[in-house]
Amino acid sequence: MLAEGHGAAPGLIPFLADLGAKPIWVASVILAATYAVIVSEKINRVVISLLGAGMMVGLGILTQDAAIRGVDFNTLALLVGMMVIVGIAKDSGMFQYIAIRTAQLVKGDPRMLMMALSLVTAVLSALLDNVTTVMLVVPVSILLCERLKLPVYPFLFSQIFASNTGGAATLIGDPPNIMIGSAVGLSFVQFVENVALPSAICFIVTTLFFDLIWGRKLEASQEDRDGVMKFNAREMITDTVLLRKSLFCIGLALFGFVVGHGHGYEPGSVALFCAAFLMFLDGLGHTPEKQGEKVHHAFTLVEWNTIFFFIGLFIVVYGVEETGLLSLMAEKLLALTAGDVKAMGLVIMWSSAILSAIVDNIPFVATMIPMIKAMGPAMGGDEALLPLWWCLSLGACLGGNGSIVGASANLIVAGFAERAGHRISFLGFMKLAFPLMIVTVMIASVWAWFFLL
Amino acid sequence: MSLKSIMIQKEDVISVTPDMTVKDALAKLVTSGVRSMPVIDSGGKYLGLFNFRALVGKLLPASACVEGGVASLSFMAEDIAFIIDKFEQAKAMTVAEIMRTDVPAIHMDTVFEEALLQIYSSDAPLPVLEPETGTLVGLFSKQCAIAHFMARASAGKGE
Repeated sequence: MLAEGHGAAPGLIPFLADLGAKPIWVASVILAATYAVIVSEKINRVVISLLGAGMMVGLGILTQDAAIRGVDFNTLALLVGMMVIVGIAKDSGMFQYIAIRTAQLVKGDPRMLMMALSLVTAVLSALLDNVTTVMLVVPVSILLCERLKLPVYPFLFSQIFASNTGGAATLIGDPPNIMIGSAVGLSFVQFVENVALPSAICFIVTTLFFDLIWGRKLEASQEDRDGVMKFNAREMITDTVLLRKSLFCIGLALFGFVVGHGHGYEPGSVALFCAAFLMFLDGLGHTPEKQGEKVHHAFTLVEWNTIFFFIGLFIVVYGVEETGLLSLMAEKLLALTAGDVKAMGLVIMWSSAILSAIVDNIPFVATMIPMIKAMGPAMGGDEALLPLWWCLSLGACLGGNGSIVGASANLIVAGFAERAGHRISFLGFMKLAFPLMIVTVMIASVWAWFFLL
Repeated sequence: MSLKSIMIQKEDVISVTPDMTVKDALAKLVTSGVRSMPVIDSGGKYLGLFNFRALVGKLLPASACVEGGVASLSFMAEDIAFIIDKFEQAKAMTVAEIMRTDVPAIHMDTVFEEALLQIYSSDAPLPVLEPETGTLVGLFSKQCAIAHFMARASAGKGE
């Protein structure tokens, strides 16, 4: 890809050039070092991704302009927009309300409760971001377990799986999908058509499995169940007006995602517009000072570390992309699979799943996207690549279930559970989660084989 | 200004031992009229603090007491049986199982201003320890601070 004098490259700094270093090797070393440190978890991953990005510019692989071109602002806008919307919405107490009502709907029956809370988690994860969903549902779930004197672990475990399989179902459900959808220009509807069903099947299978090993053995006394039935869920709604405004804006955003694509509106614009509109509604009737406070608060709810992690990764990956490493890797993958789309799809899905279980799936997907794109011409155009994107999506999202570090939501659940006195051990979780993740990827493979590839 | 003359002296501190039952410790709390009691082992080493917050932390749902947890319990109305159940269980525990270890400890040579800042953001009296051994030498309470203000202010006027 990179010819001498390519517009994006300022040229290696003299010291490295004198040593005879090639940009492609320098970029590869930066990428490998960045990923190695991220995997080791010795240094904060956000810091490392930004240092890696800084090296790409500092050593002359990319100019600042080129680095900025590498950042996918649509992904960032979608993430920031949804974080603001959900951040404001959660203050209305609506998510806790849903969890408590769910418990009462099943009359406090523990077996049904475990399935129902998983379903709630899965649906919310599909429509909102996984991390927020578990952050709101898990504390109430633990409280319900305490009240019903139930073991907490099965609930935490099943909700982690529900959040990742639910998130796999839609464009906005999980960061890998947001990135893939944004980079390739796939629509909300296309995601639902292609990956929602296999995700739903995986959800049903895992939920039934959890019922078999845990759910059916759970018991709660009638007295404790009566206690839950006496809960006044309405008390959970702290602000009815805010609730209506939030629901309206979430609905508006979903509507925008579905119909916007056909009219050239990217999800990033839709999400940011809806976030701005919710902040507008939320500020109505308040003094300028109070409005200022509310807006400030809304923006503190954005996980800026995640946003900057993305920025750093985008730049690191763009650096290796510009030097031609990724097209080289794409050629190798093409050669390995002899250009057979079925074989390639399965290789992509399985490698995404296994790697996403061990490493955070975000850097992996960021690297795979330009690599798969580079195979376009050899495979016969972008249309021919479509099945590969679904394989990447399913593999990366479902792979997140494989270990406690596989997805951000898992870490959030583990972190909260530990604070509340219920530790989830890394190996203990993985012993069951990894094989189960393999089963879900098998289901996805069968689906892909018959319907996607 | 050293805390030595301001704090409650060791011999006046009402304390409990880690192996005492919560039931007995609560009885001691009520009869002695104090709100917090340091937990001290046989060697005089400070281990933690026993007070209302330590007890109630065991009675409330854990997911409501930690950061990022359930923000309100107003929906649990008319469910006192649940709390009483847990109180019965807590009574049989030992002090060591429920004592708090999150209260910042200070030293005899901590300056008064710093001690004041620490207790300003603390809901409990601060244990004053000997740095090397961790032995309790006194307790710095809000009453100690107020008594010290008053003593200094009236002394100032008299001069």
